[in-house]
Amino acid sequence: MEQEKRDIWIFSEQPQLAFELLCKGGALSKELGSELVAFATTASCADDYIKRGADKVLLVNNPILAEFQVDTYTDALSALANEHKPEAILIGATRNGLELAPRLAERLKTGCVTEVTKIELDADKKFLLMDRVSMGGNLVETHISRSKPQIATVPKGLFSQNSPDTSRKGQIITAEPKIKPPATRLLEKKPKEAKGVKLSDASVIVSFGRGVRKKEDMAMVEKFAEAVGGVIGCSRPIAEDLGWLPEEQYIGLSGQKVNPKLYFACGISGQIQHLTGIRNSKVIVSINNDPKAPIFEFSDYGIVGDLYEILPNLTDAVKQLASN
Amino acid sequence: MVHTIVLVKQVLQTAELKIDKSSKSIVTQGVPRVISETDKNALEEAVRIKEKHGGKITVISMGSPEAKEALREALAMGADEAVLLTDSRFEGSDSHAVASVLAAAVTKILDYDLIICGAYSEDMFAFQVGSRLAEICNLPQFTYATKITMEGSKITVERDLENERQVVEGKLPCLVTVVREINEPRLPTLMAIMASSKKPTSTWSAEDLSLAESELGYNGSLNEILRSTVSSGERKRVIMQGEAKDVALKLTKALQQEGVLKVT
Amino acid sequence: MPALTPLIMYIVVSGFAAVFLYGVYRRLRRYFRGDTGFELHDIGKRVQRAFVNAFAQRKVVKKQYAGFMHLLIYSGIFVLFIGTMLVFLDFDILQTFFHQQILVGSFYLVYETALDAFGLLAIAGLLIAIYRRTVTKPSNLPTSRDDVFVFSILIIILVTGYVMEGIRLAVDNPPWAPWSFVGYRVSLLLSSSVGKQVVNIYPGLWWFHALLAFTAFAAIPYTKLFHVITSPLNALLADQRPIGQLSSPFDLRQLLASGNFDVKIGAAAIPDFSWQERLSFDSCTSCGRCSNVCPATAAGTLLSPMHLMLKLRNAMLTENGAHSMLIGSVINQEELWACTTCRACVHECPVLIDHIDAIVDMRRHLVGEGKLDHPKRDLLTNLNNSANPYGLSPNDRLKWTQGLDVKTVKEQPEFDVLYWVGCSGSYDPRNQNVSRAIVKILHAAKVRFSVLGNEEKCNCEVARRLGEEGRFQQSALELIELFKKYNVKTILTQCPHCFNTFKNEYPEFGASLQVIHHTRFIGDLIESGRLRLNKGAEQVITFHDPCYLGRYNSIYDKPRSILSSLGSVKIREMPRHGENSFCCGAGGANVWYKVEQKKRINQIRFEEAQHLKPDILATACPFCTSMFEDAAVSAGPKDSPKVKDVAELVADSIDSS
Repeated sequence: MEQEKRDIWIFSEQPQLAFELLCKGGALSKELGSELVAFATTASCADDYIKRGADKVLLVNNPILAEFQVDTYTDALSALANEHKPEAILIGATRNGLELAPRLAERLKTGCVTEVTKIELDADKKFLLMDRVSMGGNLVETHISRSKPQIATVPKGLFSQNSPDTSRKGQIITAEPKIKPPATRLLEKKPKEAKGVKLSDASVIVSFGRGVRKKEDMAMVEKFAEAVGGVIGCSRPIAEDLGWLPEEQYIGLSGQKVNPKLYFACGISGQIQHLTGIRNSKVIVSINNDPKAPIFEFSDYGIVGDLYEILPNLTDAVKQLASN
Repeated sequence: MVHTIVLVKQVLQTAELKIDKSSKSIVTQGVPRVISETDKNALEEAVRIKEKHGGKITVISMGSPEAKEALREALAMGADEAVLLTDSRFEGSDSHAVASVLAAAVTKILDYDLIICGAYSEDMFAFQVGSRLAEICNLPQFTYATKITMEGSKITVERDLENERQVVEGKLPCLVTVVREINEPRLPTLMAIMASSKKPTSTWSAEDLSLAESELGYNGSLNEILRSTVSSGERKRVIMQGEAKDVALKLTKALQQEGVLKVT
Repeated sequence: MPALTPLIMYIVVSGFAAVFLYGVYRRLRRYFRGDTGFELHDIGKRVQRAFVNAFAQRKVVKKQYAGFMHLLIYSGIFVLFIGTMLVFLDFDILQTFFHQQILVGSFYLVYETALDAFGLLAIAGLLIAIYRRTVTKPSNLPTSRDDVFVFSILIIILVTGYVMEGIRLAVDNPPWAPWSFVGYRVSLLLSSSVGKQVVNIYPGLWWFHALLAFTAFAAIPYTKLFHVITSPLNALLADQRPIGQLSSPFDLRQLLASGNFDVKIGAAAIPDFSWQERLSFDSCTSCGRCSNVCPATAAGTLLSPMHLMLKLRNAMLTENGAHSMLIGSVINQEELWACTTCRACVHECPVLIDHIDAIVDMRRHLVGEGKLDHPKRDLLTNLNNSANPYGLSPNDRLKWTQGLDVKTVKEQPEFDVLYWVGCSGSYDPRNQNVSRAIVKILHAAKVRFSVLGNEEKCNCEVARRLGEEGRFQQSALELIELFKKYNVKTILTQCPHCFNTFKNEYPEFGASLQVIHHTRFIGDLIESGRLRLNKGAEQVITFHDPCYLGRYNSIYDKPRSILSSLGSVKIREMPRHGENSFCCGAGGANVWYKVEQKKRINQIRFEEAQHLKPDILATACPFCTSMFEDAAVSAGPKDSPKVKDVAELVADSIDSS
């Protein structure tokens, strides 16, 4: 009997994310002693995938796949999976991917773990252990899929990419799975203006209050925000009384409610009106020169010191980290 | 006239969850149970469709008996009938098992035009049930909807993806998952909630849905949770003082270790 | 007089009377359209209230200048009216049927003098009024064609009256003429300057004067003069609820018993208001006093209480307006949300209109529709889910007690006083300090107290003010049960809103509790010697009277006596203090959502305090404290007084020896 293939498959309609999946997928397939297979819809993608680590690419050149649509992609992938029986399929956790993965998993009657935070093989190399966060971040669950393929959706930035290796060789297999016409019709699509991240969606926020003395000093805060990749927010007086920022940017009881991974409160005293807006933040860092400021009770890390000294130093420290 | 089925999930208010340090478990006692936010959006959308096109709304919730409260709130928002799917054998269900139960309920109701639910639930953020349900029932799906327009049996949906907005059309019956941007859900008053107890509510168990035990709960799941680790707790309240340069370095290291500071 | 004159007179009078009666009927009818119950209790109290306010003009004269002016007009016209009635009685009834006369002898002399005097007063009042409207031009005093008509016709009637009297006295020359001292002077003027020809104009002048008088009378229900009927009526018939108790559109206990929750709540159109409310809309005299003291008006919001009442009145009086939806057409919902329920308007209104009743009724409608903005929905959701308006964990209510000896009712079931901490005192870091101060005081005075701990739930007073009546009543019933369970007899609270609700609103739902605000409690402890204070350093303190403690519950002196007992304290009063206190801006749920305003209410009030340059701005309400701390942050630490609750000041001064 032919030894069961335990190939790792990857797919993302987003190239950069696909490269990240290839990197991790490659590591997994190496451990299993199997092959890394990528699903592509164009020849140029197929070439890139090989360069980035794929051993094989299943290329389906069908024009019906030119635009991502959940029905056609489910048809294609499920047909191919039924034919080739992969060990696991890693799908990029874009909105498209999050729509595709469960539908595909249901068609294949297999398990699926979305928004994984970690993937590794168990000690016996039998299962993929897929971690995800639940219960509002309070719980980390380790999942396995009871059947194959084991499907996981992987968010951007979790894994790194291999740099392209033009010398790499791989196999590009053209496939023609049966794909039914989609049940929905795309009428139009409009790109979104890069208006910047909304505060309520931001994962890093740098917020400031009356500790910032002059409007010109906002530049210092902006520099720091840039260094950490954060969106600027503020307390109510900054927007409502001083008008330094538009009202959509103030966080608090009658303003925005935010839930970033990282929240910096610079020169904010911590009145309850502000605290109710930030309580869902994962990690809160506050900087204030008053050791008795109520915000410290509410923070994970509190720096007692002068904002005007701390922020520039922090900006440097973060930049140092980036360059290392 | 549109018969809409809305799926709501009653979740624990995750912001109120606390960790019991000694037993290393999550304290759920005293934590309020609420309707998941995006499900409220789904309900609101269904009510607006009813206001415009007429018809009726059946709201279904799968959960513990306490989910009856969620159904009352849903009825108060404007749903006409409520169905509670509850059975101790449902416990331990993964997304597939949940979708199977919901599919059985939806099939039992039969004469629906539209199923609306939230794109994800506020406690799990799994994004799975909608797609799985659509697959089992062989329905077209429209996900991340920010606007729904209907004309006869034609439905047009505006969808919100990361980098673009799409306008997609299809035919009823279908399933739509909504995101928070779609509307502002109305808040029913206490009186409205009390008055809603007059509307019909049914409770269905596994028998009512003709489901075999092997399809339910832990047994019927395709995923298995090997272990759960409790992660966070109270705010750390780590205070740093001293030379600005040193403090900056210390903080940056700590944040990196936390995994919240990613520098590219 | 010509023989037919009486007959013509009666016909003419009947004509005008008919117009008058029709006008009154048409207007009064508007109050009773729709399903309105009519019940009146406490007639005695009502009559007293009407006497004091309408007849004796008690509230009108509180504003000295305008009050005096109105008193002149009112008393003048009133006396002249009585005088004319006496003539009618004497001439048309007593003489004709009973051959009797009362206007004789010394009574008649006094009568003549009185009428002349009061007529003069009326003219003086009217002239002052005209001066006020044309030269002084105070705010919120609109002058319309209606005003011009009323002033003109009254002055002309009065002046022609004197002229006629002068002519009569000049012709008849009776010995008692000087008693009608004004008419007498006029008669002398006429005799000397114009001569006997003036007699010829007398009949014409007589009819002119009479017709004008009848016109003015008949015009009452068609002009602002209608207030002479509605204002006393309102003083007689307005609701008699205790101050601080909002109206209850239903009783949740009854609904729970009957199982029928299909109750229409809130006012969307005129027929939804009670007849008493509608009568009150029609009682408005456009005096503007309410808007002049309204903090929302001062802050430049859309709300002006007088204009709101007039809009309601105008809608009520037109056929179209009487049935159409008010909010979204003549009334903008932001007007309703801008009200802080501070009661300055109601307190000020001379004709006893309760603006807050109407506003809350309209809010109830908006809440029932469910279309509230995000912050208001969050507020109600938090109350529903977390039993506090912040949405913080119900299990964290005792966090502030860390390190303190505070026992819950479970731990200490025998207690003398239940210390009700309240949501702000439990969760807001700033007000947790006040809670800690109170605990320190209670221990120093050896008071045996317990707290409810995590069983304490918001009493949802804020929900009631917002318009979610059901939620409030549900909370009330639950808390009253809880108080019964733990045998609570006396409640001590630091929040005037909680205080007001427990004291004035809970009895309706079956509670019998003694409710004490912390200022009274602490004040009593100091006065009785149970609490001894160190005399502190010299400081200047300004006390801000919280609306729900002062205007709502008449507690003004106790907080001040506490401050005085702190030692060499100089109390500097803000211009608007005591019953004239200016709201901090948090009430009526305003602190939980955004109100568009040109200058924030708390800033206006804070600046009023800053102006006095006190060391401390003392408060007795967690919301006032929070609002002023917020204003202080915006104002900057330089020349800002420290904001301190009275309890904090006392706790810092306790003599622990």
